[in-house]
Amino acid sequence: MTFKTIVFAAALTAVAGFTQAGERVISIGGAVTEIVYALGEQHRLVARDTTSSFPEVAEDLPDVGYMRRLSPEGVLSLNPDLILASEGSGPPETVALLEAASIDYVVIPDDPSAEGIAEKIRAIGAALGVSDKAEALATDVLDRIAAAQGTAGAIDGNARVLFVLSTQNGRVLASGTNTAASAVIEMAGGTNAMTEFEGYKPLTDEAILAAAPDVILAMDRGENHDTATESLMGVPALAVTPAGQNGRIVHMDGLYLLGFGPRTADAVLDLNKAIYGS
Amino acid sequence: MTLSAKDIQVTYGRRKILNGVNFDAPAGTVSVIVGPNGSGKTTLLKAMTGDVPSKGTVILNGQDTTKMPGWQLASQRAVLPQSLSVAFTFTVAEIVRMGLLSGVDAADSTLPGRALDAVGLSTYGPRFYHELSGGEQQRVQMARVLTQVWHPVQDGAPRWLFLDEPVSSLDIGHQLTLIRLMRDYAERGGGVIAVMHDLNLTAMCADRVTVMADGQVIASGAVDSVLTNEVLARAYGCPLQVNAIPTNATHFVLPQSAHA
Amino acid sequence: MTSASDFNVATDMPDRQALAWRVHLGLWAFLAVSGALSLGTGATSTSLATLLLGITGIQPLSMMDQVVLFEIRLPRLALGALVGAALAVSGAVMQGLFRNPLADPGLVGVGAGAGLGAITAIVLGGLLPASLQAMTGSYLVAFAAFLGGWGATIVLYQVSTRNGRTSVGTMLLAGIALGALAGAASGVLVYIADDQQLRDLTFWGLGSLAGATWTKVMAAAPIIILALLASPFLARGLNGLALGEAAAHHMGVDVQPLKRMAVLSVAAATGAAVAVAGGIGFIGIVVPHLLRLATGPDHRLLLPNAALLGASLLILADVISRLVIAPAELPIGIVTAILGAPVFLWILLKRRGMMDL
Repeated sequence: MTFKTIVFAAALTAVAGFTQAGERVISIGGAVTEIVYALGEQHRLVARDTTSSFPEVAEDLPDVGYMRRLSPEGVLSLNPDLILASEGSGPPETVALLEAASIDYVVIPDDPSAEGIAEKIRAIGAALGVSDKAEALATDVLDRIAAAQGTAGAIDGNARVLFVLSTQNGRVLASGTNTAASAVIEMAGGTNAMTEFEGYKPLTDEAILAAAPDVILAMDRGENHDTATESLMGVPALAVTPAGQNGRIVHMDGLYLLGFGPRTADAVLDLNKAIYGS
Repeated sequence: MTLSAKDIQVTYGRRKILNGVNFDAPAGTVSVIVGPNGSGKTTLLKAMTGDVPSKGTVILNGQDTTKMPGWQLASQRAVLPQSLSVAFTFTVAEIVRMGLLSGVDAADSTLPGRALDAVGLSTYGPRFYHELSGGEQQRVQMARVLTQVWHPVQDGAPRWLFLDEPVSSLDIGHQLTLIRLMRDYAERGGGVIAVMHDLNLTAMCADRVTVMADGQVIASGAVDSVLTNEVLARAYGCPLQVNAIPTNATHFVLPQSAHA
Repeated sequence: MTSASDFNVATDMPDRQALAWRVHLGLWAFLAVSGALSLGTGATSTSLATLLLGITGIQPLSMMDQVVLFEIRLPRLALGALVGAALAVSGAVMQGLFRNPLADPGLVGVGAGAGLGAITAIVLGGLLPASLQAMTGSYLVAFAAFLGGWGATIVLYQVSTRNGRTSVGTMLLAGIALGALAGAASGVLVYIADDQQLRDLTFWGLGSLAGATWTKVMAAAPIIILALLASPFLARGLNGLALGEAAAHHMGVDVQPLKRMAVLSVAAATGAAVAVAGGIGFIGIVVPHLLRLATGPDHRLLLPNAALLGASLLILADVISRLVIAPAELPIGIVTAILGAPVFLWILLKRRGMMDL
């Protein structure tokens, strides 16, 4: 940090003092934006990032780019006084500059679990000065997830679910453990079919056969489901799995399924229904 | 002042191309190396210019060439290769001006123009080199080489032209132009060493001829002592008849007809 | 017999050198205009007029304007100029060294090595002791890319140089092998990368000037400026090299030192550029090619002109990258690829059949 920057920062603090903090908010991260809307504080938003696609009205806000590739001048041009950024937003150079410009930059934790959602909501509520509303929302979300998991757990069966992120060039990129996909599958009463590794990795054909998934779960990219199913079934190893044989392919919106926001309880119920067809 | 090569040996793998060849050329003369295909004449020239690895010593103006820095060599001798490929679209003027790279005559920017004039290409300066015919390209390269060692004698020491087949792809008129350039350079005190193919052109321009066969020198000396029926028959393995033009005693060589 | 010295007519040789000089002056103007455009445009309303009013004291700059101008746009301008000049000059030097207008630092494995360094840092950086991580911070990727570029050059040199002589053919092949090796190693790293790191890799590969800071400028500037200052000393030798190594040697060019210096300056400039801006393609091929078409291949003016045009074009590409989808921005590598790839294809089309590629 240069000396000049520090001087500017001090001066900017003085400028920022004229307005009340948190009146011009930029929200970075799909779940973060959803929570701001769920808290009814959307009137304070001036911009969002590319991953913030829900609710649809959020897309009318200016887009400051992909959450990990924020442009400092782009963000500054919106004159924000508070940035709610999901964990992992960046790059660090931009974050450093924004912090130097005395903009409140609050990192929102992102843990794919029910308690993780509650933490997100509480952190956002605290930053926006609406902790009471946040606590109520957190409790509500936790209750609904518990109920959903209760429903999901009531169904007998341990369907093996394989989450496929992409099938580029016939290479199947699938979820192992310790991912949002793995977490939501378990919450919905399924079993992650792939537990040999952490994160998202390309699979060999034999690994797919050995995993023997009953259901293949993929993200809905807005395309026709039949086309999407066709491209999945275009991979021979996927086509011969029990899921492929029985046509058990499930498509769900990525943010809805993996965002771990206020809608996760519904996603868990939907996924449970899709897996067990009740 | 001479060029003197002693015991030059060149081997490719296990094959000996040159087996202890000696070669001497005094300044002020045109020395031509002739011989059949594969006799090692071009290899000898390349060994003397350092273009093929060799054993033996090459003394130029009293100094061992392997111990001379590149700029010093370049200031005393210029080398015209049989052929070379030029990258990028240089103009003729730009190519010839590269003769000034060695820096000795760099101050004299008139040299490239004079050299182009000397090879009969005075209007070719702005043309693209790669669009010229093979013969024209060869003359451009000759102009570049001339530019590099324009003055045959510099600071009392002779300078040298090493020419590998300088006239091979030229028409007869330009062959004569180049031969006159070689003679002129030698008569003004410079040294000219050329590998040539054509025995008649050799007879016209050489002061000394070295005949090679099978990687060895089989005869070396003044033209009339070397260009003889016997030596040429031995070198080329075919009957040849050497005669002299009555008016100026220049030798010429006639191949003997296959018709009996 | 006519004496050669009688040919004393100093033929007036019209050539492209005068044109190259005029182009040189024009390029300085182009750089100034690009620089002004880059300082005056962006997502915020700060404009060139703001800057001029501020400098002349007519209307003092607001603190916001000062941050935008001096902490965001100026370091970006400086980094763009440095990286653009480095890429273009490296390309021109490499092409002169390999005697092939399609040669590029990417070709001899320098870019691949730098890329491997960056990917290694992104994927494995987290394994470093916390104290070291804190020290290197966000510059770890940059530093590793730089090390990778150097490492590749050293390996390349060891492989392709014997008894002090570098074989250009061996070097090209070694470069291809190194590129494949770096690609394979990157593939392994990609396999063990987590989801977020994968996304980082994608964006790093496209290159960007968005992360420009004075620290990065200061880190890259000495290396790049040193390489740029070295290039005029290479120019005459590279001209001679166009006739081949043997001919260059006979013309008095010290071929081996020339090649060594050329390789080192290319490695340094490319490594530093890749380190601070990621993979930005096509500048190194397109800029020298356009200049050769306009003013010829003489490196004495080609190299400085390439530096100026490379800098200007990258600055303009950066302006485009930050305006098109403001307040977000496109990675600059996408912009240079969209502008450069068609030119590259056009070069290929024109050269097809003219020579072996």
